[in-house]
Amino acid sequence: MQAMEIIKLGFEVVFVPSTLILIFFGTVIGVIFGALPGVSSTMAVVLALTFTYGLDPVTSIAFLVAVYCAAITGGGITAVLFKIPGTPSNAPTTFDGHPMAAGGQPLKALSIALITSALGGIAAAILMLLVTPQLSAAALKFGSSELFAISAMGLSVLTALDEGNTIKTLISGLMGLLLATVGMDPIYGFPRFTWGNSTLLSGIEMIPVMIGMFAVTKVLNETVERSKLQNIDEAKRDKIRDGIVKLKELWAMKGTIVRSGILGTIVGILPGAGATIASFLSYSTEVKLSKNPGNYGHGEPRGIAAAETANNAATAGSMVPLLSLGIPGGNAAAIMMSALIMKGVQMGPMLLQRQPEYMGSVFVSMMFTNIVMVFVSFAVAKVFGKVLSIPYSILGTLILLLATIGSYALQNNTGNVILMVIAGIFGYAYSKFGFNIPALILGLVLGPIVETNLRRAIMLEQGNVLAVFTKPITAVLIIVSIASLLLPIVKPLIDKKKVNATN
Amino acid sequence: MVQELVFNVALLIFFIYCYFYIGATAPEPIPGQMDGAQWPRMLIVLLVILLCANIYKILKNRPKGENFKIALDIKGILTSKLFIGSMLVLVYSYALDYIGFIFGTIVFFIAYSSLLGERKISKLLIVSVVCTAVLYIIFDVGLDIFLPRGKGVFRNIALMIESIF
Repeated sequence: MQAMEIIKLGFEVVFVPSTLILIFFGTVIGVIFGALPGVSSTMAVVLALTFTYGLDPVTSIAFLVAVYCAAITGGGITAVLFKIPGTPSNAPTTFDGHPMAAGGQPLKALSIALITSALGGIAAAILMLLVTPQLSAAALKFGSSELFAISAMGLSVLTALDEGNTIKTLISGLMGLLLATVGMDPIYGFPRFTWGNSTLLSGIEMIPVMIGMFAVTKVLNETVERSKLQNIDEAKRDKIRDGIVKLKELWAMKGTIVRSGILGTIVGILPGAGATIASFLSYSTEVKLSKNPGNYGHGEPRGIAAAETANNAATAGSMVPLLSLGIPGGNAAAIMMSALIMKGVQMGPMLLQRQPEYMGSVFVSMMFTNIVMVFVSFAVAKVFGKVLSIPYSILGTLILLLATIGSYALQNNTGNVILMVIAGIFGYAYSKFGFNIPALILGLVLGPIVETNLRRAIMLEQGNVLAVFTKPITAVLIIVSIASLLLPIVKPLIDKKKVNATN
Repeated sequence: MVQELVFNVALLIFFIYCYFYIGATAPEPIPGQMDGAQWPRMLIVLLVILLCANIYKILKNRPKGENFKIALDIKGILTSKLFIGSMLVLVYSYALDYIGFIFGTIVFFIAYSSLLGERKISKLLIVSVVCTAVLYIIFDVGLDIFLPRGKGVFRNIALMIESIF
């Protein structure tokens, strides 16, 4: 079926008053959920599921897609204003977004985040429509060894996360990978690191750990030493330099936006690799390509654009395997898939052949959401800006309560709340001693994918490790990963040598 | 610096223990396969190497003539905002099952906001009740997330409030 026919079908489904209102509502709640610290985009989709019970499957997917895209974008608001990523994929946005906002340009930082996010989403939706069959066919050919190599590539950003602190960043990433091994062994099914505790059998829940390490750690930091959240107030705003980003300024970032959009879409398509990896990978790529890498982490606009373009592009990417193969590209896509199955939809390659309106409605919903969400996000950001005038004694406690509810709602048990608190306290000590929390989270997220695929690949090659690593695609990806991992370590040494030689 | 050193050494000891612990619980390896203990052990070996390097770095960078003294100021620790804050959050998370979301949250709100510097008791009381009510209405009533009801009398009160909505 031609792309134009799919778009036409999508318009017929979406451009009905009731569906448009629903998508608008989905965008609003998505942005709000995403902006609430501790409510991840996955959780936003879970919470929004309740509203789809009375809807038909095609409208449901259009609505959930709107919530998902908007939540990823909404997460950028708190990342910029509070230095708390609303969703894990917004973590790299804090690196430059918050310093820029704290430096007196909150509106500019926010507008870069929101507009590039929308651009990433729109570009990726078009890409999704055009290349779905080809890319999904390529992804289908990937075996365990290639999937291992791809996730290893995701890990290769570790050394770039904090270049002056390589050892501690590597320790953090490895600890994340080790934490991911807690629970039942994915192949043999025996307990690892559970110490007889049945709760640990299902492994370490990622969302409470993320909420704890980002939200609780942040509030504990502020409890001990109040600083960052009070930096961005109206009095400190530089009214001359601050304002919505100009077209000229956006044009100057075109290379970053295009690269991040493509990278985000590709990463989103790969099973297991979602918006978080996309934003980290895109951010570190821009740092490596930059002529002035030292500017990153201190309010560099390209840093914000890279992270936000990529994470929203990944949302469209994650829909490709879901719609064409019936394989979820990430957690949120898995929830959408279960919502459709619940409604009796048969997922798989035949879905697009028999019911192309699913693809059409997802595409049109994404286009509509990405445009509407810019305006909605600005409105929400204004409210969140006002939130800054609330005394921190109230706001800090509210953040803790939202974090508590977010962890509790995951499985309706307080065990996750306790895990969140422990992660938060550990995270405080961890960050105090200079370790890297985003690196730990990256390890935790990628851990199961790396381990399972590596072990499966070795099993398929009957123990021949060399055969796993010498497969053409795997070998290339591993070489790129090693180079990417070593570059931030080797580069300063080479530079130092050069300086010594000139002296 | 001493605290950082202690933290690193504690991690090192813990990971060495983990290296042997995983082996104690893993089944016999099958030839031609990577068994369940090998991957964590590979990670632990790398962690141990990097932690040793980090400890060496800490020792190397310590100011000249500085001696390592671990002076435990128990009173200082117990009265620090960090300890009190951590304990409040920890106790709240454990108490939720027993006293429920409504009571637990009102008490926690007052306690933590006081720790963060809010001194007006009347304001605290009003804000804590209003915030708890708003959160309850959004999540429990609006989004059907069944927040903890607590046990005994707390459960009865929670059920009574739920019946109102």
